[in-house]
Amino acid sequence: MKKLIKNINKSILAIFGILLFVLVGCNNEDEFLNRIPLDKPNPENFFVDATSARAAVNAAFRPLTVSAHMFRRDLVLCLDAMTDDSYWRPARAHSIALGNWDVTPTNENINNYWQECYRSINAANFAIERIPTSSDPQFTTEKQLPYIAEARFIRAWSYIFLTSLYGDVPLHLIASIESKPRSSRADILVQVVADLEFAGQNLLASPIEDGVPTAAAAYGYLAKVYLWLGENEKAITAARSGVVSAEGAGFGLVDDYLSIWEEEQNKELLFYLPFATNDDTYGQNMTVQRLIRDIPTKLRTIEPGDGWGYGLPQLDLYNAFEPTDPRREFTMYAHGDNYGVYNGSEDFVYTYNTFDALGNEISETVTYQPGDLVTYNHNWSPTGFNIRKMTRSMFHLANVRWSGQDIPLMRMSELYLILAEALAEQGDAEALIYVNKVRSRASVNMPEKTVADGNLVDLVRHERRVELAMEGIRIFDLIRWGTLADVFGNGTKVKRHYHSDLLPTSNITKFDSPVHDLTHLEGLLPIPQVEMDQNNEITTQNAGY
Amino acid sequence: MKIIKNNIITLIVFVFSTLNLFSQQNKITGKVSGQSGSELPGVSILVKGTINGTSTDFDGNYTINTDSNALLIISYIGFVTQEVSVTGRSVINITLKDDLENLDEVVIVGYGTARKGDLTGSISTVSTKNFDKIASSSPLQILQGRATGLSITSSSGVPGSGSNVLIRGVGSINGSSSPIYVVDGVIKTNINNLNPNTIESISVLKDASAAAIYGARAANGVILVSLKRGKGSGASQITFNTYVGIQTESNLKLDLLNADQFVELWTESHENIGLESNWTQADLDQYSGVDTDWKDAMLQTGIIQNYDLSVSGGNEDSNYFVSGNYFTQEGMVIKTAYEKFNLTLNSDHKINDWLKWGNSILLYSSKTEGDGTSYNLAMRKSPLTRVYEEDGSWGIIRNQALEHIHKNPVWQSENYQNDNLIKGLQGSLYVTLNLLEGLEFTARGSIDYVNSYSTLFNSGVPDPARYSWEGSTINLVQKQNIQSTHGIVDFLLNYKTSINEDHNITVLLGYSREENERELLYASIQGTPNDDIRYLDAGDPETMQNSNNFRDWSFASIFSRATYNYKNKYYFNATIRRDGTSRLTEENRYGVFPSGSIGWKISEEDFFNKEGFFNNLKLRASMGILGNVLSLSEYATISSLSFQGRVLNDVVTPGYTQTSAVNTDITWETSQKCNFGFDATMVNGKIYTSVDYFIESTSDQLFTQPIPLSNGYFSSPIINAGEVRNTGIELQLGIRNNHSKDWSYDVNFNFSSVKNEVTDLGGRDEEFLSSGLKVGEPVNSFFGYKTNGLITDESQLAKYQGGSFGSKAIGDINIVDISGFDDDGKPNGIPDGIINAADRTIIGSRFPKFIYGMTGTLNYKNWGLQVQLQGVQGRDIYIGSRNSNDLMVLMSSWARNEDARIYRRYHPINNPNGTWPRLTKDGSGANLEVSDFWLEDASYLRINNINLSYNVSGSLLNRFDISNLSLYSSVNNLYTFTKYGGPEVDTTAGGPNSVNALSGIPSPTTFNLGLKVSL
Repeated sequence: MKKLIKNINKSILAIFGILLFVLVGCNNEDEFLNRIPLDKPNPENFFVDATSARAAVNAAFRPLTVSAHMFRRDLVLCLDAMTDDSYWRPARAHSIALGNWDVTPTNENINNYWQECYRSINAANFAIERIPTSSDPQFTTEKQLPYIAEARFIRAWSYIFLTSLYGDVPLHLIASIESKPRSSRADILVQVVADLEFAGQNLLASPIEDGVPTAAAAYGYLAKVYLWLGENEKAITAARSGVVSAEGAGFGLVDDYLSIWEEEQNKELLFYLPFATNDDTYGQNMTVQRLIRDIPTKLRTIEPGDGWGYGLPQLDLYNAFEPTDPRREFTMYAHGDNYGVYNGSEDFVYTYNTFDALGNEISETVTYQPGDLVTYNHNWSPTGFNIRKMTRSMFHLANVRWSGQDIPLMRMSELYLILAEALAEQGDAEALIYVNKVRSRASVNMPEKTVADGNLVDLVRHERRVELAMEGIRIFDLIRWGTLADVFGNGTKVKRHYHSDLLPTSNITKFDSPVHDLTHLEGLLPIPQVEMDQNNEITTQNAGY
Repeated sequence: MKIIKNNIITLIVFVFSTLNLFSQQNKITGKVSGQSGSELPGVSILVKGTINGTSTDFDGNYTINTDSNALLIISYIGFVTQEVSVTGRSVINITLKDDLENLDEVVIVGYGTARKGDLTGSISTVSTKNFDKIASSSPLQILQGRATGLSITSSSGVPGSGSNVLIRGVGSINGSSSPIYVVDGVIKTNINNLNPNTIESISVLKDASAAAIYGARAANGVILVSLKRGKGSGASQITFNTYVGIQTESNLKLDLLNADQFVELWTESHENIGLESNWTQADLDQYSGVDTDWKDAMLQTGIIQNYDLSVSGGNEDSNYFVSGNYFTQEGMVIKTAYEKFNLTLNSDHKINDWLKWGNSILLYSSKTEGDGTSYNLAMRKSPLTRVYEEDGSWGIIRNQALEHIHKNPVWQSENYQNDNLIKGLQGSLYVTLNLLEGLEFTARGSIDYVNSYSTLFNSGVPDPARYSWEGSTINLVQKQNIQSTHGIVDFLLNYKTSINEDHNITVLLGYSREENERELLYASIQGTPNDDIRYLDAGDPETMQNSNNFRDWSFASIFSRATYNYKNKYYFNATIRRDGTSRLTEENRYGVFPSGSIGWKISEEDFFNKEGFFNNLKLRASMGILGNVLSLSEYATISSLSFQGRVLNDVVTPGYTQTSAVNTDITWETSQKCNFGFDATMVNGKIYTSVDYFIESTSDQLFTQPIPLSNGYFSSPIINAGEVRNTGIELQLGIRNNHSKDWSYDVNFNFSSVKNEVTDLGGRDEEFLSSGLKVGEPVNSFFGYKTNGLITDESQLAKYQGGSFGSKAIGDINIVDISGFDDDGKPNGIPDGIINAADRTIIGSRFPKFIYGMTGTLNYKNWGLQVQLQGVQGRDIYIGSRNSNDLMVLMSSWARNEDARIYRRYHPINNPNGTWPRLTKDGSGANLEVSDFWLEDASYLRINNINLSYNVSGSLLNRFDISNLSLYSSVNNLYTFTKYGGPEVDTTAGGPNSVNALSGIPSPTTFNLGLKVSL
């Protein structure tokens, strides 16, 4: 009996156990399995008001500054190295290859430019598409326009960049995972024009936030695109709109040329990329890449300090300046220039190699006493030159990679020169008014150009080269003008080294000579191999690759 | 702190020991020996129907307290289990009969145990004998080469670093291919925290039938680990084990260029491209006599110490096993170290005849100090830089053209802190109700809580104007805390019955919920007042940065297993599991995974002559389907926005966008697995073998569809497509003899060969090619150019002119023209006389053709010797550079040192017979393009471990009540035979998407001496 009770008890236990089992099993299993990210916004309910619109637009600018190959570090230098203006120091293979036009489709720089521009475009597309869905009724369509304009501005900027360097490229106007074939450069530019017209009309002439592009900048790029398309009348109109907008908002030329890069948020800057000082993530190391590298150790503490010297101006650029143009010295250090004051505590004796008047190699010795003015020496660079423009002292930085120096992309002087170029293309001598405006800047103070000085277009192009040198702009001008192959000629046209004429032909620093024939390449970079491999809609690589 | 730890141990030992005091029963003693008369140590003696048990000491003696009418079960591996009735005796000597089958060994299987002889699935069991005598912090390192189908590779030689484990090859294209570990019911992703000495047994579940009970968790296989438990009354045992070891560089060494070679090649790389070297003789003169061997400066003799103390015991109602372990290691590279403390508390308790409970608890903490960054830097540091100047100050960079601005690696080691402190609690608690005869209900909760706290401190570099070192002049403190909690609740119903002793049936029904939460908190600050202050409060508040994120996932599963055997001849096993996962949308969330297996023990048939050549023979076959979603991240099917800030108004302002393309329409990846095998013992049990053949296909692979960069996403969507197949054989063969009184041996070979093959890419064959995926080739193969030596003649240059390699010249790597492009821009396989991207193809495999191992054990009287070898055949490692910070950049970047093999470079005058490419400062010649020139055969045979031990015997031991005292010595990673030229051949580095294989810290050789004593 006792045993039976025990068995009954056990059976109850068993039933209880099985019930428990079933209950737990059926209890809210879906709830248990529903997990969502709790630390990130959700795209469906993110868009509310101006704050979310600002954030969505910001994300479209981020790709241009985040990667080392973009403006954060190399881009300006690499773009200039691809022209007749400068040489990339022979270190870091992929950048050297770019400077030499010896690029393979697997080159990481060209891969990165492509990737970051399309990331910018995708974020811009997302912002353009979603800002109108904002839930706050106070955030009216009208209030949304400047944000959408800013997104369309940066989308246009990225497409100009892409189509300039790669030719026909995929055109994405909505965020999607669909593969797109290459659209012709003409089709890309049609979209760019539409975006920039919208941006010109809807961006503020004087944005509330420092770092947001101005309406004038949009007109500036629009005018450049029209010039590229040969639509000079439209270019004149757009450029005039830009000038009116900019001047009306108080933008203009600053007197001190070098202060454009030394002072933040000055009135010359229509569009620039801001960076934060002493910040590992949001600072830049372009500045240290530009500063002089091969300086003797004892002279390293002279302002603005030493750097890594990756961008090295060439003799061809030096010669492009009129002999009296002070912008030559503002742009580059050349042999015999004042470099700075020796601040050591004891005499410094320095012997260096140079050439005598007959071209014989000799050595010279100088002795600097504390307080002496040091002169720049051609031994301090593989080309005999270093960049001075767009540098700044780094002694206040905790890390030379964390410069907060902003990078201007569209300055007032360029806007004047765009208008000048448009007028010149139409044969209108009014062009010289704007050329001379730029030349007459207080610190530059160059004599006025007149129609007697030559072809209007040549005068403007010369002025663009010297005014905007080493700012990463010339490559786009050469592409736009279709003169990229011409400037290099047969490979002995562009002199590289300060002493180019004295160097043997075997010396790589004698001439800037592209490895590949630029005519054959049609002045284009290859489509990145990753894109070729993963985009089934793209079947043709650019010529020569 | 140490005192507290010791007190806790004392207290626990005391509490558990008192349990013994309450047993008032007969004491039985005796001796167990084999047929040959040799005493058998470690024989298990269990009172039937209880958990009261003991084991024999070294001389085969045992003592147990039990009722006078109890029945003793005496079992020992290799011998037939006997039942002996006590019937009032107090001395019982037992002679065990050799078991020719050796199949009564109990092995752990998913959610239970089984007799080895009853298995129908493919399970490798690993003997853990001698595990405690091998100097290693990680059980996985000891497992290497000991089990068939198990491939273990070190991830790094940094102290405390883990291992990469593969069971039967890679099944997944994108996701993790690592198995899961189940430690006393706790599912884990690694077992580095375990003390090897506490492991009782390890089972590797390989085929579907064995692993299917873990359903969706098991697609990559399961490694089951059970920890030691107490045996029972009279068996209280205290064991102390200690060893000390030293570590030095192994026989594989990386040679770097010396100063003269460096200057010679660096000059050559300038001259080769017509660039004047920008240093003068005067510059060189200041380096006269300087030739720094940076590797030497970074190495020291590593020291390992290990202390283990364990206490076990109990009575028929309760048992316990308590073990404390302290392991400390000073690495072979300066300022690297590892320390581990762990405490294991396992017990089982019977409350009455229908209720018992038990626990397995592991408390652990470990601390890793340092990492490989400084060592890596040292490999690239110019040999012209001094470690110290003559006045004892740090080496100054005199000329950047000859010494790159890298920090001094020794300074960096000494002024850098990267500590990772892990504290964890891993444990499970179970209650079992004995409901009816044969029916048990078990509820088990388990938890794995890990807190990982790391501190990174970077000192500011001293005066940049004096030293010229790159880096921040301001110090940096980073703190990161990752807290993760993994909980599982299991409910199991077990039923076991036997009808007429002929039909043996077991049924398991289970339900399980599993949940994981992980939260990260990070903050950093710069500029504390001095380098001694390494806390956030002391820094400059303006530089403060922080972040915080959270991830979770969950599984809910119901599963069942039924086994049936008829007269222990015919075996059937069926398993089914339904898993639900949080990683998929509600529509696709559930997957059902069935499997089944059969076994036929031919040797049990009447017609089989067990006394013949074969003593035992069993055939096995299994098939089944497993699921996998672990290639997916936690929220792979949910869109979210990620932070993309921008500077405005001079401050960072938030930015958000959608950076990942999400496909919500994905579902389970399924692996279909078939296994055929047999187990046999031959020649009176002296030879034993197991052979398995398997085919595993994983289809609907969850993998990233590479979308074009022009879509602008940071990450690509996941799709279900494609199939990967692994086919292979595994063989185990052993010869043993333990019949002699004085000596015994056991030599065990294992061999595994897996052919990994992509069999379908869902029609996306061309898109995946550049990722090294091609139908008919192994997963993630090396993709690049085929080459045939160097260009020796002008006539070979023509094919480069029309392509993108215009800078090729004599002395550069010569690429083979294998294809041109068709009209769609795809390679057409027809050589076109031009070298371009069409000529890239699959050039090598990162998977070995086969792996093998051997464990040989020889015992003679008191001496024991174990030798363990391990080998890998037919695998490639990529030694070329993939970015400019790698070691092998052919002098193309900055003034940095390189692998001495580049001295074999071609130069028309200095080295006209050179076999390596010419050196170019600007990288022209495209010699660093990914090509088979840089693939090296990494086949090797390694003497993994040699272990010699001596058991002290004699009256001295008895006088001090010592039951066992042994002294041992072992060498780990003694010697590697290989043609591979890098510093580490057993490495995951150098794969298609991994880091450079040359500049990491390699595994050291370890010599150790130890002592083990049991009371």
